[in-house]
Order: sequence, then structure tokens, then C-alpha cells
Amino acid sequence: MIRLENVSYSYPDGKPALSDIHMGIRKGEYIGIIGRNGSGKSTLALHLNGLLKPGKGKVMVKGMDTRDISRLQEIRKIVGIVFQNPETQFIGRTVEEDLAFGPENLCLPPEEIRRRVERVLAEIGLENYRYHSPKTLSGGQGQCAALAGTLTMEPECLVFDEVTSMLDPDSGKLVLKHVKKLHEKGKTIIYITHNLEELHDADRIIVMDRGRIVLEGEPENVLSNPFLLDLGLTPPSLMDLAERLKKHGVMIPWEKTSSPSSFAEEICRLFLKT
Amino acid sequence: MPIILENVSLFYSKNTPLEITALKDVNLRIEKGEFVGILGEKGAGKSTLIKLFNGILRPDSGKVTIDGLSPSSKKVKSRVGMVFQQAADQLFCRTIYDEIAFGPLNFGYSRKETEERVLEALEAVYLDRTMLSRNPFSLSGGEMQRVALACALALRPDYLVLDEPITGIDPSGKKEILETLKKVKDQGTAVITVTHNLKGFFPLLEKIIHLQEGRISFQGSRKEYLETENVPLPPVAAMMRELKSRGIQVNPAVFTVEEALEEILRVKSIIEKEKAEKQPE
Amino acid sequence: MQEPVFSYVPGDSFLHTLDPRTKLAAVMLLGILTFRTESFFGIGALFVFFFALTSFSGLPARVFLRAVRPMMLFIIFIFFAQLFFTKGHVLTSFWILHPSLEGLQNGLRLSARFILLLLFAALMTASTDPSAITCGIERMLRPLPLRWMGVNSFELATMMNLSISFLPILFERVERTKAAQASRGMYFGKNPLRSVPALAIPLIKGVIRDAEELALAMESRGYQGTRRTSMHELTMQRRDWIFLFALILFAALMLRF
Ligand SMILES: Nc1ncnc2c1ncn2[C@@H]1O[C@H](COP(=O)(O)OP(=O)(O)OP(=O)(O)O)[C@@H](O)[C@H]1O
Ligand SMILES: Nc1ncnc2c1ncn2[C@@H]1O[C@H](COP(=O)(O)OP(=O)(O)OP(=O)(O)O)[C@@H](O)[C@H]1O
Ligand SMILES: [Mg+2]
Ligand SMILES: [Mg+2]
Repeated sequence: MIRLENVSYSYPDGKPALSDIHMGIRKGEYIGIIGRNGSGKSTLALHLNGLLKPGKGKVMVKGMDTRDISRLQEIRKIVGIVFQNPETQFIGRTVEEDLAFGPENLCLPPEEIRRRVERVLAEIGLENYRYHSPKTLSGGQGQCAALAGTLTMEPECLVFDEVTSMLDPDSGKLVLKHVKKLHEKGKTIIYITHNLEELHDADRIIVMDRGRIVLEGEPENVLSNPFLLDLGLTPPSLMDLAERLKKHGVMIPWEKTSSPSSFAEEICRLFLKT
Repeated sequence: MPIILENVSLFYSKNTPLEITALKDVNLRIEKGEFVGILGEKGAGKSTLIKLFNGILRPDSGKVTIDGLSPSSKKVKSRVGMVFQQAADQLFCRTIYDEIAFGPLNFGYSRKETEERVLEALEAVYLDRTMLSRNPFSLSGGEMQRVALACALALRPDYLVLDEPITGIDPSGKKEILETLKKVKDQGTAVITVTHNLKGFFPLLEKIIHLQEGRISFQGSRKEYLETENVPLPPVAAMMRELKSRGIQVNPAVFTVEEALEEILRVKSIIEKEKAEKQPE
Repeated sequence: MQEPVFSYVPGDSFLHTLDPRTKLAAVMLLGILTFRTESFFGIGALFVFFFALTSFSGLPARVFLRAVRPMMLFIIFIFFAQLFFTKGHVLTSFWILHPSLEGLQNGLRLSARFILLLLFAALMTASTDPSAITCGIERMLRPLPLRWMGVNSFELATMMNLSISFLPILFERVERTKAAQASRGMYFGKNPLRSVPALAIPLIKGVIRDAEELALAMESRGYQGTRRTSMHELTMQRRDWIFLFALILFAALMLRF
């Protein structure tokens, strides 16, 4: 669905932020992207709907080149991005107006726009803040509102750039559940995060370092790869625990490390069986 | 002398339909040299609470004192170093050097002393010296967060007040910054931090304050926190509590992977021994 | 915490449900009326009309006080300027000031008119969602041949939207920069000569950066400055026509007497 071919990019004043990226994203895939600070994750995200144009190489979205200005509108309809910093992405004066901004640009009929706004407000739990200015929301509420602003556009492919970084664990889990639901509905998901525990359900994880893709594969393999430590990344703690228990003969299968309760359940099963 | 809050309440957009009670009857005391974590759901009032500590916000009712003084007095300002939730908001200079030097210069330190402090602060957040001449706004999210923290560290404050200081920082960076904070604390500075990152911060926290809809719903030591119902826990602690509730006799007050490993293996050997004793019958 | 002067108060009263175009037209008509009405009786009638509308709107009096208060100094200034500098029957004299009867009348009239304008404007903005106002303006402008001037009504509406929100953005920037500087020892209080330059440069840079990021965010959400729809469905209902008809009748009566 999206293809990057030999993409390189340098910011006007800086050293290369992306070098020679080659990757393909299939429709309906759920991809996690990790990597240390400044490794180029956000820069990569901005390339996916043509907000940045590759310096070298090309980015194709459903066969459309992002450098082709006449197709940009169509590309943005397909690929929606939720940025890392919520408060620079608010456009409306009220939360409601902000959520409507995207669909308005898609020229949807008014009742459809209102239906989407209502639905997303309820899903994300922002009904009480409908008339508040998005700028006065708390960090976490703002992050939810930014997420909602892209959800109302209902793009086929969603790019999330550290969208749960300011959320408390419970709200973060809710957002993650929502992302999973979108994935089940057939949307293509690209999920950038520093919290590796969130990537349990991804189909594929891509690890970036200094503008390059250095590791790629299924979560099970990538997250337990010892090479991660050299890249400044640490495995999720429950996985780590499972890995260490393995050395003492307690085998916790990978699927069970997704949540504390499934982990505990598995231990009980192992220990208490007669 | 500590930070003391007495019956503090604060409202936003007072007397309008959009009125929000951000803090309600908050009583609080933070001693010098403590490591305090402020937890709570989104919108619970955490950021609002810490903005009281350096006078950016003033309570609608109640009283805030720091070392017996009002937080907006100049004397107090140099003792409280603050990092906001949105690091990008906090940066305004042309280069990173100017940014970090702004505080010390403002409090009248010499150029030489300032430079020393800048370099020390930069090192403490593990940034490279080549960064010094860069524009703060051309940084990646995590890099900005580090610069913001360096700005506060350069003040060498008595109270270091942080709003989610390790959001957007990669896992190994988190570890580094946590170490820095521990060092700062060991030098006698009180570190007060809002955080959602229980996994990283839990081993450091001495005191925990949990806010819920503007009220303090829990205040106490880490140990007491682990025994409280309905509060978020780091994954390992949550798993241990779950084990206990399923009837395995582990000590749930555990939160690092190493301790959990030890505890599980201990229980395992006990269970196996019991089984072995039962078998011959 | 500071509040915006003209701000929307959500509700579902008769006034809230009117089409924004109706309300825009009404405010324009009432504005003209206010400045065409010479007699105190007429001005009194307009005040009565205002209170009647207000009672329909269910809006708290605070909204209106807030709209008038910041302008009060200006209004008082106008009143006294008229009072003292209009030639006519001198009422009393003290020192070099000679307040005249005509001055008193002019002063009262003019300040009453300003207050009326502010009140009607506040009534509209408080009962209409701001985005609906711009949507209404966009619709009203659509038939005009704006294309000759190199813009279209959509662009104009977005521009308006953004510039209405520009002031709050600017204020917010000021607040943020101030907070950031204050927490690192900058002391604003007494000396504006010191604090203004310290604020101005970061402020300008901050606003430019905000604008750049805003542009990026808008682009990312498909904004192109061409045709777009709106969340608000604008249809003139029967009550809109009735309201406008009643208003025109009222205006005709006012202008007649
Ligand atoms: N606007 C910009 N101008 C110049 N250089 C930039 C700009 N934005 C980012 N960079 C640089 O490009 C590199 C990649 O940045 P990017 O934002 O893509 O990193 P990231 O992987 O998203 O990091 P983080 O996890 O900290 O968000 C970094 O070295 C950064 O300093
Ligand atoms: N400037 C403001 N004007 C109006 N309301 C505000 C303002 N700042 C915060 N609020 C509201 O006050 C409440 C508390 O906000 P606060 O920023 O303290 O939350 P928080 O605990 O820091 O949350 P988070 O973890 O999401 O950052 C929220 O409901 C928020 O919407
Ligand atoms: Mg990034
Ligand atoms: Mg906050």
C-alpha cells in the first residue's frame, strides 16, 4: 500500500535524518516503529503523507508519488498522521470545531460530519470538553483530542507518533485498545513508540537507528533480540521476566506476556497443576 | 523548611459554563531532600498542582508557602527549578547554550560560573557538546525534553519540580536521566515529579501522591501505595498482586524484574517441596 | 484566569437555534438603527428590545458586563469630550470647563449607542458558535465575485477563523513565554523596558513557529483553501424568517418616529 524506495532526507541545516530507507507496508498491516531519540522516526512519519518530500528516492502511496502535488489531497485522505506534539496541531477554537476540521476539508455533508464528531467524542471520552478550547486541555486530554482530530477523517492508514506518551497507564491502555480495534476493522496502522510494552500485538516491528532501518521482524523475535540493548532499547519488563524464568525452567509462552493478568494466570497454571 | 499547601483550591474559567475545578482542598507537605511522585489520571490536576510551586498559578483559596515564603517572591524562584509538561513551550532562545545559560545569568552568576553550569547540566542529560550551537527548535522530541531538563538543572535548585520529565525519551535515555535525578536527590535536592512512567520511577520514589479529580486520594510511602486498592501499578507489581489474588503466596510488594524473579523462584521451590511431601502418601 | 471578552455560551434557547446569517443580518440592521436613531425615546426602545431578546436567550448578565467593561473607559472619555467640547447652552461653569446642555445630550446619546452596539454584538457572539459565525459569513459572501480579487469565500472564511483565533494564540504565547522565563528567574513586575524586549523576540519567533506548525497540521488534515463543507448545516427555518420580518417591522417603526 505504501512503498518507500531508497528514501533519504536531510533537514536544511542538519545532517541526514533518513538515509536510504527501503520498506513496504501492506494493506491492513500493524507496524511498530522504535528507535532511540533522533533516529528519524518522526521524520519518516512525515514522509508517509507527503508533508516532507524525500530528498532522494521516492514514496509511493497506492501507486501515487508524494512529489506529485496534484495527488496530495488524495494521499492525505488515505494516510492520516497524529503528531508527536499535540498542542501544535490544534486548529479549531473548540474541541468540536477541531474534530470537524478534517472532514470539512474532505467536503463531507454536514450531517455526516456531525455524526463522526459525535461518535469520536464519545469513543475518546471527550464529550465534557466539547466546547473547551483545545489549548486549555491537560497534556493527556490534549493528546486524546489530537488523536480524535485524525480519527474523524477515517483514513485507511493511520500513523501514530508517540500518542500515549503523556497518558496515564489506564488511558494509554484505552487508546491502545482503540488502535487494535481500528486494526481489526482492516485499517493499516503505523505505531511509533518508546514504550515497547505496547507493541505486543504488532505484526511487524521496525527498529531505526541514525536514519536507517537496522532491525525488522515479528515482535517476538525483535523484542527479545539482544542487539536491542546496544540500540538503547530495553525489552518490556514482563518479557524480560519470562525470558529469565525460562533459564530456571519456567516456560511462559510469548502470548502470555502481553498483560499482567495473563502472565499470572500462566504461572498459576504451571505451579498449581497437580 | 518545606513546601506546604493548606486547603488549596483552584478553578479555571470561574463562573462560566466551562468552569473546571482543577484542585479542591489540597493539603500537602514536601520536605527538602524528598523524592516525591505525583500520579493520577489525565486531567486530574497534576500540572496545575505543581505550577503552584513557583507561583505561575495562584490558588483561588488556601495558602502555598515555600520555606515560609510566598512562591512568587524572587528569593524562592532561584530555589525552585521547573520543567513543564510540553518541553517545546519552555524553550525560547536562539541556541541551546543561551537556553541553558538563561537561568544562571538571570540570577547573576558570572559568565565563567555559568559556562561551568551549562556544561555540567548538558552532561547530566547525556547530550553532546556539539549540540550547544544548535537551535532548540530543530531538535527531535526527546532531545528537546533533555534540553528543558538541563535548563532546570543548571539552576542547581533546592526543589526540582518536573512534569513528566521522561516522556518521549528512549528507554536507555530514561535510565540515564533517572540516574541523574537520583544523583541530584542524593545531593540534597528535593525532586518532585509528575509521572505516568511507574516502571521507571517506582524504585526511586519515597513518597507518592495520587490525585483524582483535583483531590488527593492517596498520600504516603511507596510501601503503603503498593497495598492500596484501585491505583495503577507498574507491570511487574500488577502481575505479583494478581498472583497473590489467585492464591499463590508471594509477597506482592515487589516492582523490579530481579526481585520478582527471586520471589517467584522462592515460591516455586516451596510449592515443589510441598508437592514432593504430598506425593509419597 | 482571564476570559475572552466575547465568548460563546452554549445553550439551546430561541436565539441559539437561529441561523447565524439571521443573527448577522440582525446585528447589522440593529447597528444601522442605533446610529440612525436620534431621539432618546428611540434609544430607550432599542434598550427595551435588547432586554427582550436577552430574556429569550437565557444568557447570564455577566456575559454582557464582560463585553462592556473593557470599553467603559473609552465610553466615559467620549461622554466627557462631548460634554465639554460641544458648544451650546452652558449649564454651569467651573474652572475652564463649560459643560453644555447639548453636550450632555450628545454625550449621553453617543455613549448609549456604543453600549448598545457592544451589547448586541455580545448577544450574537454569546449565542452563536464561533465557527457557525464564520460559516455564515462565508455563505453570505459566496455569491459575491470575490474571485476577481484573487480570493474565494472559503479562503476568506478560514482566514477570518484563523485571525479570530490569532489573538488568543498570541496571548497564550505571551503567557507561556512569561511562565518559562519567570521560572528561570526573569522578573517582570516593575520595569517594562527590561521585560518587553526580553519577551518580544522569543514571542515573535514562537508565533512564527506556531504558524509553521499550524500550517503543517492543516495541510496534514487535507486543507487546501478550496471548497470545503461545514459541520453546521445552514438552513433558514420558518423562525428565521419570522424573526427577520419582525425585526424589519420594528426597524421601520423606529425610523418612522
Ligand atoms: N525541523 C528540524 N530541523 C533540523 N533538524 C531536525 C528537525 N527536526 C528533526 N531534526 C533532526 O533530525 C533527526 C531526526 O529527528 P526525528 O524527529 O525524526 O527523530 P525521532 O526518531 O522522532 O526522535 P524522538 O524519539 O526524540 O522523537 C534528529 O537528529 C533531529 O535533531
Ligand atoms: N488554562 C486552562 N484553562 C482552563 N482549563 C484548564 C486549563 N489548564 C488545565 N485546565 C483543566 O484543568 C484540569 C486539570 O488539568 P491539569 O493540566 O492540571 O491536568 P493533569 O493532571 O496535568 O493531566 P495530564 O496528565 O493529562 O497532563 C483539566 O480538566 C484541564 O482541562
Ligand atoms: Mg519523534
Ligand atoms: Mg499535565
